[in-house]
Amino acid sequence: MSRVFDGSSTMASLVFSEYNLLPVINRFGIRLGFKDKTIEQVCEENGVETSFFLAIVNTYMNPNYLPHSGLIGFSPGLIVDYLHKTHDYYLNYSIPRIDYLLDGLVNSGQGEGMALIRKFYREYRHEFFAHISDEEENFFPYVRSIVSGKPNATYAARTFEQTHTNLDEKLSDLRNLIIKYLQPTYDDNRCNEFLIALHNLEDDLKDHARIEDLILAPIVEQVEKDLGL
Amino acid sequence: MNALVQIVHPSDVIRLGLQAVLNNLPGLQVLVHRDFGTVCTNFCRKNLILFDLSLIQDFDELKRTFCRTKLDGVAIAIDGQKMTHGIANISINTSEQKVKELVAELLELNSKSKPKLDQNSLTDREIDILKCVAKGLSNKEIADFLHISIHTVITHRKNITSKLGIKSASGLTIYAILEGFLNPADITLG
Ligand SMILES: [Fe+2]
Ligand SMILES: [Fe+2]
Repeated sequence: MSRVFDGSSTMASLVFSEYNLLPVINRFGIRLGFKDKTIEQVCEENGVETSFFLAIVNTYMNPNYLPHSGLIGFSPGLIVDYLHKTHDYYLNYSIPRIDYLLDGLVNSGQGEGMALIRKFYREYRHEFFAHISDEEENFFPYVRSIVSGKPNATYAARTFEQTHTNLDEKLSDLRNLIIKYLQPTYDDNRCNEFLIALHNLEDDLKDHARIEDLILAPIVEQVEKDLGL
Repeated sequence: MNALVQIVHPSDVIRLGLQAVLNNLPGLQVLVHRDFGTVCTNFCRKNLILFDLSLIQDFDELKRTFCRTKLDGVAIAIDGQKMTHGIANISINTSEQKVKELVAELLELNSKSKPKLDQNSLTDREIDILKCVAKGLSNKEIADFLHISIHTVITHRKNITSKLGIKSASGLTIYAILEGFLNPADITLG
């Protein structure tokens, strides 16, 4: 388990300890140039709830970390906003970038293997979009409706829990296929760039799914109970 | 001590000579006996018995009595004696190095390096299952096709995934093609 940060650490030290947190921090509307300000100061300046920010970054760095105390205290609306911004990041940055890097990789190599990899990725990409649309069109509107006190009866936290699929699994398959079994006919640098981008997305998705499954869904379930649903 | 080697031989010279050779191997406890009467039968560790070829019946009987344990034997032949099949042999002329290598191999003392690769390659049965998965068959269909239970199919699939690091059916399909287990014409991808 890596270090758990609190509000008195400097924002810069947080970034130094894990570069993959850069886009996570951006999702809160926080940008670089912190000087020696603490996490708490930077959060206040940007109108971000410090305890929520800490819960998110600490979960990111420590897969086993769950903010026990005060977990239920977070507004589901806040979490959905964060998850929605993450979706935007995937759709507008991660996926287009991986598309681009994969094109470069496939065009630099030859043979049936490259075509198979492209096919596998296309299939995955399709599932990825379907997964995100389902959350954006069904689960998130439901959570917002619950927060507003006018619950939309067509959905439930249980529906989400039963149908939520795993998006990082096929990325890990893809990484295994390339690293262990694909004939290296391609340009090495292009392949490395692709694998690193893939790895970053895989890590981010794992964290994203943890927030959905282990933080958001239980909180929504609790709210449902409180509302007598 | 993770392995026990016992040397059973009526000849003091052979018995004690072998003991001196094997004592140099790390992780071994070596016991010596004139005959099978005093052999230690607490076979909870890896076990190997080196015995004079004339005692093969005693060895076979011991193996039968403790048939549940993995017990390997090496027959020691004096020159000119006919070697037996189905069991490792050394002769009075075998070099010190060869004896050590044989013992290490039988006790899998070097298992860190070599057998790793074997552990991760698929068994024939797993390859049968992999081909079915790649052709898009469900677990139930695979079970019917191969005349095994669904439970067995699931166990095989788990083992395949843990060996290859590939979970999805489409990922396994690509693996099967890349490794030449399947002709791409045989299947329809996604
Ligand atoms: Fe999501
Ligand atoms: Fe999700």
